[in-house]
Amino acid sequence: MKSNGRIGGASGAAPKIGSWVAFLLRIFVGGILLYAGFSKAMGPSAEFAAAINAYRILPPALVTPLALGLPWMEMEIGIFLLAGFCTGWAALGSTALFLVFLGALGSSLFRGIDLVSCGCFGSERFSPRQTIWLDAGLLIASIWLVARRKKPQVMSFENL
Amino acid sequence: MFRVKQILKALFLLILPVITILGLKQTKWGPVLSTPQARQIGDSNAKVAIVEYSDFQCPSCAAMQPFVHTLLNAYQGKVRVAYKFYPLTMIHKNSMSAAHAAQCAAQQKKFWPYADSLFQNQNGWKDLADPTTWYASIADHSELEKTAFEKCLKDPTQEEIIRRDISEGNERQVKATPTFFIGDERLVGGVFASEGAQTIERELRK
Repeated sequence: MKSNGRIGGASGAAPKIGSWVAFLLRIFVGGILLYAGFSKAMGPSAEFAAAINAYRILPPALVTPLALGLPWMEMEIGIFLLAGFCTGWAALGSTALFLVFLGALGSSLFRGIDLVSCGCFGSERFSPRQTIWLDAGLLIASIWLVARRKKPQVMSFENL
Repeated sequence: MFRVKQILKALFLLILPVITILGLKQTKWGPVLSTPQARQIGDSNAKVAIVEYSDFQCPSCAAMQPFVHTLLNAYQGKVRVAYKFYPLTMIHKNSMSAAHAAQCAAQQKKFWPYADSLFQNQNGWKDLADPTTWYASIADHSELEKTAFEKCLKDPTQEEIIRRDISEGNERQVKATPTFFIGDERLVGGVFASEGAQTIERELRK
């Protein structure tokens, strides 16, 4: 019998361990994205614009709009993952974000740009090397969540 | 009915962070206190005031200083700059002593040539255990009165002035250097080079 994804759902079948692992990964990825977006959105956007500018990837005209928009994108994806709502789309969004972050960090290291801070968590200073490992882990978790998007979710806002 | 419920849930999740941030975000910053005349440059009646929070040991501050002068030249009579000390002492060990030396130059109304020279020679003094000789040498180069400068360097009350600027910067949510306020707009780091002129133009149109 197919489970509807609720804990003790209508089918009465207990969720499989994979569903609980997915739940923990949702909390991990969603929590970090929510925190990263929140810490940046709470501070002046100019601080984050300076961090983006230091990567020397984007033309100046795009730096400020990205500094204004990216924290909100992170927070929305984070909250959807935490809530387990449209998890597949949210995980796809987080996969895209972490690919972009890894690309930017890798490119800065490759070009020898000495970033004081990655700019990932507002005023907190994480080195680009530390962040690459974190982003790689988050990327793998996101891909895994995308891969099991059609499987039932536990603790999901969708089932309320 | 199911679809409407799902849409409402999605809207709730979308709106939740917006309401939270709007409710919690600090949108008003502390006031800018007056800056001694010696640490200001440009026409005192200029329409646009730029307030710069900066650290003499910060590489990005040194890189931005030529742009400060470029903009002052480009907007002569329209722009003035006030310098605020914001030494990041946790990561720059000589930043406080350099600010102290610059404050001593300000006492002799020679702040700007001294500050420019400190930035230009940053690599010479930033890692020294005792950079006093460098400070004295820059003082000579900037034609400061030697005895008064040396006496001032030993005067701990000068650091109170620096600490006042730091606390003003903290009130204004300054977290990185250089941070520039052009009117109400804030520009941090290298963004000043790319957006400084546009921001000045916007302020002039007000």
